Amino acid sequence: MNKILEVNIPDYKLFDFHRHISNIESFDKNLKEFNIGSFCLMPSMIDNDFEDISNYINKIKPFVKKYADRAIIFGALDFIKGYEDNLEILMEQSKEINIKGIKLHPEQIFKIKKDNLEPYFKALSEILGNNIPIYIHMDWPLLEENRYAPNGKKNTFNKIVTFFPDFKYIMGHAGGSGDYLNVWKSCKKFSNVYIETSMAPVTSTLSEVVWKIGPKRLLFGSNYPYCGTSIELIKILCMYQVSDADKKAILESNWEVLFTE
Amino acid sequence: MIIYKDDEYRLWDAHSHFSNLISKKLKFVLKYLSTYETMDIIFQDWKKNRNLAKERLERNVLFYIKVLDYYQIDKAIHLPVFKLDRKLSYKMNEMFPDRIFGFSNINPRSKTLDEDLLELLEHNAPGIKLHPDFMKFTFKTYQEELVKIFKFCTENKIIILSHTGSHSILKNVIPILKKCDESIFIMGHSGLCPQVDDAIQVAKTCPNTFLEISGNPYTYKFMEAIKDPNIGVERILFGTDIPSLNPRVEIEKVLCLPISVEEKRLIFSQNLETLMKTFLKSKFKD
Repeated sequence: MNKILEVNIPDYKLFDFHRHISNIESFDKNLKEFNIGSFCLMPSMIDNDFEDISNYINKIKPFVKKYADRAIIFGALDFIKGYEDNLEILMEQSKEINIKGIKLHPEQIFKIKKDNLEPYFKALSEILGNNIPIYIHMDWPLLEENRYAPNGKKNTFNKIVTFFPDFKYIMGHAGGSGDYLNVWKSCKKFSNVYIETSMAPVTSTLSEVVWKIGPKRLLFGSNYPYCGTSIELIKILCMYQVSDADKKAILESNWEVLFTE
Repeated sequence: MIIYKDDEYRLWDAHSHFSNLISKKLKFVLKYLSTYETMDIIFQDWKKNRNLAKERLERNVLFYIKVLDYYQIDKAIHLPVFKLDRKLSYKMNEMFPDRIFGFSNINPRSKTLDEDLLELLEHNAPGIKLHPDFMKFTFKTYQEELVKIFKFCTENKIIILSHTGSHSILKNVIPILKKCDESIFIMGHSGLCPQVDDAIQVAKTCPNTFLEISGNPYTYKFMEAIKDPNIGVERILFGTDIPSLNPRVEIEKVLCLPISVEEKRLIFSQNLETLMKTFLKSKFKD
């Protein structure tokens, strides 16, 4: 009978690339418990943020105020509306909550066609510039026409990156439960692609990114409050045949390159 | 058995795999099914390990035991990956009846369904695995065959575990379970992310169902199920999905929940133990 390793929280400050808001006291407690210094705050499909962006702005404002020097805010597009409306939507998010990136969620049901996405990416370029990070949640809806099979990276994420190559892209949840194998290949194909680790079903695929591409493309995320932060942290800490220095880069500093000009 | 913060927990794994395909030549394929760590447990001392037993089937059972020992898993349900792995499961039951519950698998599309069902009796199988993806069926299109399978399994004290999370609408299992309300149905992965709400809905509606949590990252949904008066902690089962997933990560999913040590023990082992004892009865070997 053996003791199993407790989660040793690193003594350096972690950067959490994927968080959502919650009760502010619980949010703060979680930051302290896991020694999280700075973080990205993202809109949540579970919390209906993509349907009501004005409400998202209002909900997130207290967090922007409290964590002004620690939080990087991601915003959302409204795919029901067109180019002109999205210019306004982005301007409002930029002014009110200082968004530095955009999150796309497949349940927003946008068509993965260049013509269809072009007005939205044009609006992004005009308001935020074309060097901003775009986070794409993986796990695409299970549809009847697809026989309820998950839609893979090749037909989704990789296509969007190909259509608009100037932006930086983050593959959310390391491919999600539907298409998590070989995420390193997207990193190899595109120099502007990064992998965020929360909800990654398998740790081997994360190790492969380090072995085949290097440690710089992985970004630690907790998906707080929907996932356990200790679970997400342990995925990085127990990565197989990966050095402590590389784990530290994933947990602490890889994010920086995404927010430099 | 593990000790965490001075508390002991037995580990009964409700979702594990192995395969009779283990061979050095197929290592390049196995990496898609297994963590590198688990492959190293098997292949690092290959020259020594390949002589664990003369017979291939027996040797692979011993490899599986090595993996269970490494991860401190006390007892486990073994689920065949491929049809050929049924034999491996049966061999496990023969060699380690007090440690492994070697399930078979049944494809509702099989042209020899009656014979396949009889094979379960021949080998005294404690359970079966269904996999809508690998077996290319949905709960709706093969409802008639599935009802037949579920009824057979219930009559013969056989547990049913299905992969969930893709390739079929999970809620479509409800009409089947309504017709076979004494069937024991374990939802492998609790619907993963895309079907977790459906899995909870099935659990609420059908009292003889269980949520096995391997691969599912949504701890807030586990808590929703635990707090739900129509589900409760007694119907949550720990699983590792070895060799595909990392057991330390899956263990943490239980350890981190805001529940008591006793409730964690239910999930880690006692719920599965109770299920096995009460449902399998004479098939259960302690």
